[in-house]
Amino acid sequence: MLQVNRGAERSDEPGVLMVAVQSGDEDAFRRLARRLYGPAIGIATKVLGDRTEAEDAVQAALVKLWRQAASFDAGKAKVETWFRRIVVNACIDRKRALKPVQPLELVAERASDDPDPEVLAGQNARSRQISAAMAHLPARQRTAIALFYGEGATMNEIAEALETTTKAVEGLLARARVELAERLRPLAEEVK
Amino acid sequence: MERARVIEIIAAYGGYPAAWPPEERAAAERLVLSDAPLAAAMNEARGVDRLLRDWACELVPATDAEADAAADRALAEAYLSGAPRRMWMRAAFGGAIAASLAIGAVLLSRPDAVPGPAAPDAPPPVQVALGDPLGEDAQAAHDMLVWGNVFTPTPEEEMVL
Repeated sequence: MLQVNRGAERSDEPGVLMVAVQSGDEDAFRRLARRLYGPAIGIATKVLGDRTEAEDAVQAALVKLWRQAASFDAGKAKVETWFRRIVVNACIDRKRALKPVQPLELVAERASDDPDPEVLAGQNARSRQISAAMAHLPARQRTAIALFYGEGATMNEIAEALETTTKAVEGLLARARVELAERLRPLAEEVK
Repeated sequence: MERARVIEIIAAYGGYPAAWPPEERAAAERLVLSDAPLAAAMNEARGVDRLLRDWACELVPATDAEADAAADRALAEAYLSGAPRRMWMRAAFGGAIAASLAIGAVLLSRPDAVPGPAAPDAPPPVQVALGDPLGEDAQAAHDMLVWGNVFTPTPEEEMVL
């Protein structure tokens, strides 16, 4: 019985870790951060279009997680869902505070960090074009697209993350797709 | 289901029925099968779907070391701008009060420090000279009070302090 309890205490299950975090356990916070960091950086990078900005946003979200741990209610949401909402809010706040998006030409010409550019040249060019088109979208539309296509999130989950209705999320996605279809028409024809 | 709703679904969810709302999927698919323009719209949407899925699923690498560093920075930031600041302010304010009380006690315990009516042949009162221990204490208490009440350090300044 004792071993079972110890196992639970050492569990890396986010829900279990969160209970420990709520009682001020810093080690549990670090372990929980490990579980949440990767997906959070993924979403934040997609929404903000910049890795450094994404790291800052995720760190701000982690500060909030630690400070507001007491307000987390396991009966209402999973830790991952709750934290995703914090990350999304941090990204949208950050996006509002950032300078206007870069011109398409600048983004398209930016050098790739890929270690093997020749092999992946075509793919990277496409990726940069998509990123450039995404940069024209408002943060909430980018977030909806990132969650819908990247996370496989349902309308309800996206609505919760954006603190809006499912109908409004449908609208966000539809407007984003119209804008992107226009900007990416030649690419879309290629992959169809 | 109305045709307009199928158009809405394709516009929002894309051209793959698997992504459509489960409760509307079957009816929407039936309509698409019997409506060529709807089928064309669905096919058109699939190109954008593929691009967006590739973009959204592109891996963003993150290591445990980065997660650990972010967690440590977050904890430091939470402590710097949270409880420790309040504790620092409380300590400064308490120190100022204690210093004021101590100075008051010293003044009251020295009869010569309390000015009384001057005798006609008494020398003129002497100003407290700079460097006098009593003067320094009073200045320190004053500085502390001002410091505690006015100065609000940034997190960086708190690190130095």
